[in-house]
Amino acid sequence: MRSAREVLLSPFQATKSFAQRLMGRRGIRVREAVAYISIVRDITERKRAEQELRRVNRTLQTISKCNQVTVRAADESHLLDNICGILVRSGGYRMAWVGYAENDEGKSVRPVAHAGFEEGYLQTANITWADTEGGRGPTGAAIRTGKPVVARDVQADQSLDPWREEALKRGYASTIALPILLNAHVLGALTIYAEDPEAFDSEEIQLLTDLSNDLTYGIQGLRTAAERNRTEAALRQSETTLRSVLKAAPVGICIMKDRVFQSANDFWYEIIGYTEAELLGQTTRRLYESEEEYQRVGRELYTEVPKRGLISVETRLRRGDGAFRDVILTTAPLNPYDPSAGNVVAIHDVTERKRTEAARRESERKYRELVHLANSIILRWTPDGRILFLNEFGQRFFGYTEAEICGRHVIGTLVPETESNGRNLSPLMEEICANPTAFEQSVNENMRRNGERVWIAWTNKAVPAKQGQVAEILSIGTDITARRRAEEAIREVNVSLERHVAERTAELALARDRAEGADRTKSAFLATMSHELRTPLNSIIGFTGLLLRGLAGPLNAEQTKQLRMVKDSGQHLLALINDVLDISKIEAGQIEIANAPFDLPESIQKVVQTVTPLANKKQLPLIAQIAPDVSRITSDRRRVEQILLNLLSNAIKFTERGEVTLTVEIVPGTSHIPHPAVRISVADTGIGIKRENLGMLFQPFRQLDTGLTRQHEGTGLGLAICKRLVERLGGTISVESEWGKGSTFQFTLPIYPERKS
Amino acid sequence: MKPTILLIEDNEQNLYLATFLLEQNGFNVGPARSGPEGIELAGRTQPALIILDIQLPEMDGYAVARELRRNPALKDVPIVAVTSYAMVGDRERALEAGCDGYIEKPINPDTFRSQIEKFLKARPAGGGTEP
Repeated sequence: MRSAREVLLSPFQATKSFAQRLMGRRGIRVREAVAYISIVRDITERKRAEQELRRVNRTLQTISKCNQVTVRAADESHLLDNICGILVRSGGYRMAWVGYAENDEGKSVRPVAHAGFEEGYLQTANITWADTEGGRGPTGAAIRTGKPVVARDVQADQSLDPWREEALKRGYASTIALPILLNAHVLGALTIYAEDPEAFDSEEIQLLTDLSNDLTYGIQGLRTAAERNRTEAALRQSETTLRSVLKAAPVGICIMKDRVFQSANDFWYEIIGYTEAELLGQTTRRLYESEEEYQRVGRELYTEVPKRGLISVETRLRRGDGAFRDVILTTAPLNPYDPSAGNVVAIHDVTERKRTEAARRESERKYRELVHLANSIILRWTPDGRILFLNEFGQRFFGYTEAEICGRHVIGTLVPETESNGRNLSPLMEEICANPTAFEQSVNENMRRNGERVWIAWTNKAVPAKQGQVAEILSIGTDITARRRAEEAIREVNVSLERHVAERTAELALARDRAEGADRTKSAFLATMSHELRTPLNSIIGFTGLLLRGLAGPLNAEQTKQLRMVKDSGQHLLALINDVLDISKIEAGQIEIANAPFDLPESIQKVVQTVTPLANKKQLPLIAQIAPDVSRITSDRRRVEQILLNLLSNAIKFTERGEVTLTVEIVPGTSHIPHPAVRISVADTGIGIKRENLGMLFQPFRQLDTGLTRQHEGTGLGLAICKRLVERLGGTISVESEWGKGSTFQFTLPIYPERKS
Repeated sequence: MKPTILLIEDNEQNLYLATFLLEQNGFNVGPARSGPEGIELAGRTQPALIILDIQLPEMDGYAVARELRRNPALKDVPIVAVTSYAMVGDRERALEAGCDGYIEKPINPDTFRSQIEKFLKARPAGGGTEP
């Protein structure tokens, strides 16, 4: 029994509602009814005020704890968790939770914190704040109305129909839902469940309402703090971003206050050529060439900025290394309402651009000058014939101003429709347009503004557009009118000249025919005469020779002597006849010159052998020096031998003592004889020739010193023949001599004859 | 029998001179005073050698040489042209016309025989002129 009493006493202290419930169930639950009932009555009456006080105290304590948590809470979810926990632990409630009203379609209430005996209740409760069955419970109603809603007895309250069974299972006997209002907006609700029905009287409701208000402040405070933190973080991020942007920007940016450097990005220092340490806190004066420029830029930038907000000025700055940079400074106030906050100044280095621009301007100027002042007509025109451009020279030449000619069609302005000679120029222009490459060069008649016709030689070039079509045609023209006139004059002169030449040629041909006829007659006469003269001579010589050999019988000394004289005279006469015939033929151009390769040393050898008996007779050494590179030449072998024989015979004939030297060598081409030649010299130590006689040496019948003629018999035609033959063979002959000392005859022959047309 | 040499020469003195020299040197001489006569005689007598003056009237030596060469019976008979030194080109033309060589005018009695014998040796005469 004692134990039963003790057991009974203990729950009694818990709540007023418990006692009430106990009384209502006494017949069912309590077996020892007598003792029990008397005790109950006694306690209820006595303890009411005391119990009420305790309860209020506890509630106040709970609120106080909640307030402490509210003040200390670092974040919202912690705060809510703690509040719910305190309500259960300290307030003695069965369960407490916080739900936030979601603005989703079903207006659901999302549990964000709970404490106490929950056991999955919230997950299955599907509480909403809509005005539907699921939203008519205390939580939904409190959110909707913004006022605390109490369900005094879960068992009886109809609004709790959807949840009753689950609520009772978990021992929720009564409940209160308190709206959480944030800035007149219902954020959600704090809902508390008690084990007893009628657990929430008006006093408790008031206290719990206060609690929920405090909670609201707490949430608000936390949210404000969180918002502030977020803002600060965003600001920090923004600053970081800005710093990165400034660092990366390809433009120099600095902050300036009263023209004193505050800060700048890397690019600024790069352009300016100073380090941060050198510039920070300094004025910009040192960057300017002169005080005047410093002042000017200052005036422009800082007096205008307040008015216009953003201003640019171009100037020249001296870098740290002394080099100058052309820059554009652009400035804006940091705070438009507070000029003292300073300025942001962007610097843009335009040195290269200016240099390039200047170069381009210069190049353009030169090009323009070139095009305009060139002493050529420069014309640009479209494929359909319209004039795009005509340079100054062209304008002066044709007599138009730029405005008068540009845009007009070439035909009818610069190009007449037909040339003076009747050629239609329209098709030509079309052909040039259609296929400019085929008309790189064209010559046609053009027209000045005053109608004067001029001849122009054009060079045309197609300037292609993108798709290979011709965008325009560039034509450069040269005035060839004067040249053409001159050419025409020359043509006319040529025509009359040709006529004259033809007439004259006819006359000459006639004369030539006559002359040739005469020559033929002369030649025939010479041949006949030679034959007629020689025939008797041959028998005279032949018979004297025959008699001298004693073939016709013995002769005495006187007869022999006289016959020899007859024979010598006959031979002399024969030589004369031969030479006269020879020279006549040469002079008449009637000798035929053979051009065949032959071995020159061999020919020389032959001639030397022929004259050796003569030299031996006079006991004269005959020396032949033939250079090793002398070999075959192309000439007339017989004529060469004839010349050589003549010269050697002469040399021996006119030399009594000493020697005769024959030298043969190759000489390279000279300005006179452009091809290699062979030079043959015959030197003697004979009587020589007087200077005054050298000139007539090669003339016919000029054998010198008639006193010697008898001694040195000859026809007197030998050297004349030699000279003519050498010349006919393409060579030259000359003589050097000193009277009494000797002579040197020298002749050259081309190794190959020159081709003659 | 002595070899017979046909001598075609229009000039009486020269004909006599050459005949004299040839006979002195042991040859028989068949004289002809014109080209046609020489050709006729050559065809008839089959000489061992023909001495032919180039400068003949009417039919010149070249024509005579060509005509002689046309006769197959005479193809082995040497023909020696007699030309003058001054008439350049005569010799070449003579060789072209079919002559085997030439002797220069005026005839040199000292060398005449050896020249003749040289041609006879180089081209042995056909026909029955040899004993």
